[in-house]
Amino acid sequence: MTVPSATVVPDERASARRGRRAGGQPAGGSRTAGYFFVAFYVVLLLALGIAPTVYAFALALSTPGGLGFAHFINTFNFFDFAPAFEHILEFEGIWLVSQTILVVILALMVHTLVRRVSSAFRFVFYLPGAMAGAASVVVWLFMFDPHTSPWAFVLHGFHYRLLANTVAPGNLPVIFAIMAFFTGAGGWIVIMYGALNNIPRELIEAAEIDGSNAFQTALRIKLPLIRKWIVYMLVLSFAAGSQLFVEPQILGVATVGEISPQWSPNQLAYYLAFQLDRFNDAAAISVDLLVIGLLVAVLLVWRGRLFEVD
Amino acid sequence: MFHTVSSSNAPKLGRTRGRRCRTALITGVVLAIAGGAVALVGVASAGAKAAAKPLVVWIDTSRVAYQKAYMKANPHANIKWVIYNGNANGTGVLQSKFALWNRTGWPSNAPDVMFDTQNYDAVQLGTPPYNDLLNLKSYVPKSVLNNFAKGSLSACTTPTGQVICLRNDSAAAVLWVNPGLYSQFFGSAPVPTTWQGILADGQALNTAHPGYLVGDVGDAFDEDYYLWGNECPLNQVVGKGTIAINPNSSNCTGIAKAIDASGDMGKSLSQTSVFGSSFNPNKVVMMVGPLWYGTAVFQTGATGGVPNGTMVAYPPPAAINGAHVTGALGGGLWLVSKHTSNPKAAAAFAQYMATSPKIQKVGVDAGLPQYVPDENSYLSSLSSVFANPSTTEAAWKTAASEVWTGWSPVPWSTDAVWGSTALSTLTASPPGSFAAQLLPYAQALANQARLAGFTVKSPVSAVANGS
Repeated sequence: MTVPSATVVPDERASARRGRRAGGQPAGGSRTAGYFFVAFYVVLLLALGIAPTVYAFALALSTPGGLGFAHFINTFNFFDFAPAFEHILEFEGIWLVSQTILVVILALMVHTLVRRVSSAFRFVFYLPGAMAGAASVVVWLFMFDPHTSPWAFVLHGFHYRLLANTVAPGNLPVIFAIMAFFTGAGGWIVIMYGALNNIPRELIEAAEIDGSNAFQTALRIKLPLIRKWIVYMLVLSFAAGSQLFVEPQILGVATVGEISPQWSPNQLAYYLAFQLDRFNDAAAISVDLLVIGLLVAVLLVWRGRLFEVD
Repeated sequence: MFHTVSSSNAPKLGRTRGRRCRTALITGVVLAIAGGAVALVGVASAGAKAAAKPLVVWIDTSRVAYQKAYMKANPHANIKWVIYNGNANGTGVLQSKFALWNRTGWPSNAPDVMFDTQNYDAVQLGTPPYNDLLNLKSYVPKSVLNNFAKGSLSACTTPTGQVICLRNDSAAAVLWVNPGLYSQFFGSAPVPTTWQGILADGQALNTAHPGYLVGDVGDAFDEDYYLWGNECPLNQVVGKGTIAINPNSSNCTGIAKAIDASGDMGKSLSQTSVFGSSFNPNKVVMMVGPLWYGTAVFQTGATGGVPNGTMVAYPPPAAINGAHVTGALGGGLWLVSKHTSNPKAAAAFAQYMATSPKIQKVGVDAGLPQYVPDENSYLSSLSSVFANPSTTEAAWKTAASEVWTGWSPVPWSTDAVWGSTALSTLTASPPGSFAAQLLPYAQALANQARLAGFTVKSPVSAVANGS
């Protein structure tokens, strides 16, 4: 008899209709689940993001005579404050420019490949990203030491015979840029590839019908349409790069002091707090880094029109 | 309708009821297990609290031999041994922990006694803003303190006279010689007693026997021999919070110019770190280094190292100005925390470790015990490791009493500053000038001093006023 099945189905359909009638609730879920998940994130954001930031501001602004900018002025006059920021800006300049150019070119090239070949390449590009911070430094220590590196002939070409030669202070921005590129580029190539996949196929086909070759398609069609993603990459990379800490710190320990423990601003803040017990000055430097990151982010978002909807 | 609704709902209800029952059952079981686990942990910790709180001792890996010796002599001791990096190489582990705990409160598992490999730490940690070390003057008898080698407790004495650590061993620099190689290259000529003599021997080796070494410039701590050992005033605390830094002193320029003039850098003065993988201890004809180089660098008796009974320690070379002084590198300290819940036991433990012959004769890896009554039994244990034990013993004792006290323990690492200013130039090929490193080094030291709140006195205006 079809009676049981006929009576089961209408009930289910009825409950589905009931669900939809209750004010646009997503089928199979409820609004409360959404709030629950977001609440979880908000709690973590408050506890681990907002609260420490407020604490840092409080530390940085509290001077013996009440609220003031004394700590900011003091740290600005430290002998290693300006060099630390110079180091970071040099590193960021080299790294961001090279990363943007190479990531975009590689993503565009990978996008033109056959799917299976493309995914194999994307996997290979992504692999170095599996080594986070400290692990990648250890690998690079081997790469930079002419005695252990498989690329020793390249290092000998530069007349480097010892690790101490490779990580001479003048080379550090380039070295950290190389390390940061290899660990970060793969992830961004995957993201750019996803952004390129969002471009409607009709656009590309229309361009090809109009006689555009692969290079022109990439330059005129694809590149402008992933502009927002490039801006996104720049915002996040700038912020992460300005806070460089693990690489110079570990490299300094590994070379037994050849890299100054105050090379980057974050290292300077750490040194002030945990070697000299000067938490207020360290907080001032942290606030400096935060403000710089925010300013650059605002600039890029505004000029890059990141939040505009086409 | 009624019949069909019930017949259609029944299986669903039945399923739902069954699912709810199962959910309730699973939840109940999980809660029971969690509750039981919490109860067990509570019982266990209560049981542990019932036992006395152990003494928490932090040591580095080289002191594990001490731990074994201690537990052998005191099998029922209630001690919790924790291995950390010994605060080595300026990593500042103790500083960062103390800074944190001073703000958040000292936890119950904070160390009571610590072994610190950095000589300059004690005064920094025992004076404001840290102020975290126990004054051992009230716990260790004066007679014991007086039995430490002359000058060895200077790194443990604060400007106000508190004794905030006990010296474990001396790491004075001696002249290590490989007599076999020496007599092969220099015949029966006496071992050099001056820096000029060492550098001249190096010049002879450069051409006649390239690849053989008379010293090393590839490490960040080399200024502890060349500059400290020549009374160079780059790190001299002259008053409370005042430091004298003079790179133009002839004590500094003398040795620097001698090294440059000899042309040995990159040849018989190796540019590789003595701990580097490519450093071959069997190529060392002579080398100025601390007492513990015997085992750590020359790896006496180990694979790839020099064979047992090869190296001999000779007295360190006299300074260029003729003074019989030497530098030092290392020599650990026993620190006792001020926040310990049992200061008497902690201080007694530190005293035992620094003075007991059961501890101080263990292992050749450490330097010469600074507690003078322990020195002889320690030295007699070396006879199988080094050749000519009587010369070696005499050299060690001489060196330990000759350490120049004008290179002061300060809250920053002079080694790290040398590493970041001079090392890359000295290890370049061709190597840069040693003398040209003095001014940048002095300026960097002055900057660190000002950062730590010191006043810098210097006849060189670039150093005194900051660049």
